Amino acid sequence: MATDSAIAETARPRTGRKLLVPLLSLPMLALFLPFLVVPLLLLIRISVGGGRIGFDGFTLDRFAAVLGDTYYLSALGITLLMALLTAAGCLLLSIPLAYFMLRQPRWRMPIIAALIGPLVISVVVRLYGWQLLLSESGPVNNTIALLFGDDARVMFIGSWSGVIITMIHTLMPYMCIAIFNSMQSMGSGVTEAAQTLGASAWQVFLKVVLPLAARGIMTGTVLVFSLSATSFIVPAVMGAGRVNTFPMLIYQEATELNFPSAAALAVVLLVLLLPLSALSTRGRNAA
Amino acid sequence: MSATIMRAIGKVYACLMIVFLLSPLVVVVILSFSSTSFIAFPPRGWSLRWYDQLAHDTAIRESLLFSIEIAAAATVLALLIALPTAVLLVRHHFPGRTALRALALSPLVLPEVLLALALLLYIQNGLHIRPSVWTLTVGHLLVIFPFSLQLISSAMGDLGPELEEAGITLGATPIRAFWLIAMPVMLPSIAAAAMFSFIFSFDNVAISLFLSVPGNVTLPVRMFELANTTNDPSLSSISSVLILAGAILMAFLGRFKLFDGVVNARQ
Amino acid sequence: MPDSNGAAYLSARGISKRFGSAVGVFDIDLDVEKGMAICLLGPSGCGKTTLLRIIAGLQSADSGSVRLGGSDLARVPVHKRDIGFVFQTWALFPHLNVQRNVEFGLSMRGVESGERAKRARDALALVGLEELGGRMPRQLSGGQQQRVALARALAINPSILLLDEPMSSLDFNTRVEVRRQIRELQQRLGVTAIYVTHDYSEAMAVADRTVVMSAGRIVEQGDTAALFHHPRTDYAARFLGMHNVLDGTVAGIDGGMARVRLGEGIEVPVPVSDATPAANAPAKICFDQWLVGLSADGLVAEVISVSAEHGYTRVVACPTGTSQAIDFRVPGISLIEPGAQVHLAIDWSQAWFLTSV
Repeated sequence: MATDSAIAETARPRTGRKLLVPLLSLPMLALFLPFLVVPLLLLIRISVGGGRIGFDGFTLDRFAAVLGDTYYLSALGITLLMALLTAAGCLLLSIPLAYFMLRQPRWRMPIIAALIGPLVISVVVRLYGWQLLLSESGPVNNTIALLFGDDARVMFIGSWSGVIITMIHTLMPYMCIAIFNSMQSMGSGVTEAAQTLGASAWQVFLKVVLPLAARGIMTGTVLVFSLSATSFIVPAVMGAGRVNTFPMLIYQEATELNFPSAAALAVVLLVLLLPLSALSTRGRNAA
Repeated sequence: MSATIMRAIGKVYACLMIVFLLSPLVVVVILSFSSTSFIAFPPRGWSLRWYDQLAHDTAIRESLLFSIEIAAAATVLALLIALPTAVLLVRHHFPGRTALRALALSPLVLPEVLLALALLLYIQNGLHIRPSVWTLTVGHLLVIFPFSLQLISSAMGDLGPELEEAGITLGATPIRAFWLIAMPVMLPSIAAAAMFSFIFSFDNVAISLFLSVPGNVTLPVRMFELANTTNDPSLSSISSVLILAGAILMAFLGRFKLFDGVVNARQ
Repeated sequence: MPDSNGAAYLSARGISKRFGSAVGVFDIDLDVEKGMAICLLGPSGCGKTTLLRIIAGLQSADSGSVRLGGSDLARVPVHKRDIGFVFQTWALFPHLNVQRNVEFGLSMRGVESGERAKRARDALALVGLEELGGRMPRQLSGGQQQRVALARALAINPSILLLDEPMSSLDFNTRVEVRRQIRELQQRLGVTAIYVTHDYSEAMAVADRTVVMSAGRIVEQGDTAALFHHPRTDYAARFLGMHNVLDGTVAGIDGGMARVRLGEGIEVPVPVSDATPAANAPAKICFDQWLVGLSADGLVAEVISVSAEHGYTRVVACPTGTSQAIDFRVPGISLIEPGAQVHLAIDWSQAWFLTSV
């Protein structure tokens, strides 16, 4: 009955075993306690603290300021809307692609390479490429001009369209792979069984594949939504100063050294997104 | 609709998607050979001037070295901490195990902005020190640690206790058995963990921006700054070099079938 | 190491281990003589592997003690115990070649390299694999890996050899051949060995004594041949599958014979023994499947199923008056059909009473 903990069970002096667990957890705790837990607690502390640096007493004024101010609220709303649109776009593009990968094993390698390849390259490089592609005189607009005339040129850079397109490009791999994994885990037998029972390709997709891939779709959507809502590099670059998302506001406050305000904004973001992330983690671990 | 037509549509779609996914990278590489000093696409002429300029660009070179240093330090630390943590979480059952695991993986769940802000805040108003190379390394370390941990834990889980037990029955102490048997067998996974940790640290922008050390910036940050100020294609050469490095890495991964690692690590 | 006061070479007393609320093993006493091969036999979950691992030290017992060659092993950590262990999955070190695998135990003991290499080669020669020292484990077949695992355990000249279902991953023919070789080697070297298996034909092939286990306890133990031909408990008789076990009641005892009622109008005479219950008490009797023959008269039975086996035909028939079935074998190919009526001649003087466990 060998189990993972079998080696731990290996007969050795009781004292040795008692010390081992704390000893092994030391490195990790030495990193996380002072550099993650304490900073986060500090962050939460100053978000509810008064005074310039947030250490005086207890006040909810900052939250009131954030939640009462239309400027902040609209930034929050628009960030969430953008995240929603990104998730929807990723979903629309990923599901067919994942299904295609499922049905055509020979294409898997090249598609996965195309999905993962961009991920190992820094996002600034990818954004540089998108800036080139989506600029007013770039290839995308040139094609549009060719087809619909010069007046049809779209200003992608500096507007939400550019941000969302780029965001979808950056996050789609996560969604697609999550969905593909969950489709794969159901085994090829299931789709074949459905086909032998007379289901057409379309029916197989709608009634068998999609429901079984639901977990992957859930995980992917939550992941993409969170990553999109908390991203500030992509909107900063593609927005060219004309687009303001909530994370960007956090960055702005931080660079102006308004830590308590930045902290309050960050806490709002955390409170909104943490339940979502916890949901997706639970899903992952349960799988 | 017949199956053949569906298949054809699927293939067209897949091709379009591949084009979509790779187009920003392709465009950059093409631009890097452009001869004009303004950005024109498609390029009006061809030249290697941007690579020549890159070779003489000390600022970029310094940033590149700096990024490599930070990534190397963060990677080594990540591995050193991930190994005992993996042993702990995979092989021992104790109260609080779930909580500890959640803590170890928390940087994956928390928004990077939040982590960066909290860390900056702590450094400035908590410890009252200036951001330094070490604080930057710690920031990177936090973000790359969960990937290392996942890869090594999964390798350890696959390994099972039997090999080390065999070593122990043959006379090796548990520690010796771990060192002589488990480590060599897990080496490919450890190497993969090292590789991905290095990449994610090297590529990181958010933490680097928040915790940047005045005077010494990482390559992505430098490029981020320059992208806003330069109007010529000069950034395309360093970008292409990075793209090439990425492509080589992908070829390497594909050869050794390590794709699952990236996929599983994020999830 | 000869033991002067006649106590067994390996002696376990009162070994108990729980896993959460489930019992692993309960109050086990076991003795193994030097040079003897014993087999722990039972279905999965009976505790045989747990017991073996406790003896090896890979698992700690909740209570009880193990003594090897006179010394108490409680104080001795695993890596200092002088045991050789062959794992179910063989556990060959994938990053070392065969030679290095076999040398491993020797290098842990500080044997210098020339001597090490020689002893490793000798061990490999024992299992007939001296040519394969340079190969990597993944290049070997299952049977070869098994033998390397054995060589590796033998190379250190252990006091006792423990084998945990080492042949379960092998195909049938390889298994038969390998266990024959192992048995021959074990006897020639005089190595004390404990096997764990669920396969009773393996026990028959390799062990001097067999210990039948069930649900964490020892059900029956004894000389292998004797146990197989004449199991004393109903559990062992059923597990070994070579006998018929029938339920009945003792109708009466006449001198050395007990009359056992098996069903409506069926009373058979069975020799009295220590296991015979009192009159009117329920009894279980046992007899070898080969002791049943077809004849012109005798117990009337209806054939339920017939299946051709290698060299004989297995017939299951149900005597009229009872719902219990009798399994027996007819040499060669038989033309009996299911549903036919046959007469069974059974030599009841060869039957015996079983104790219930």
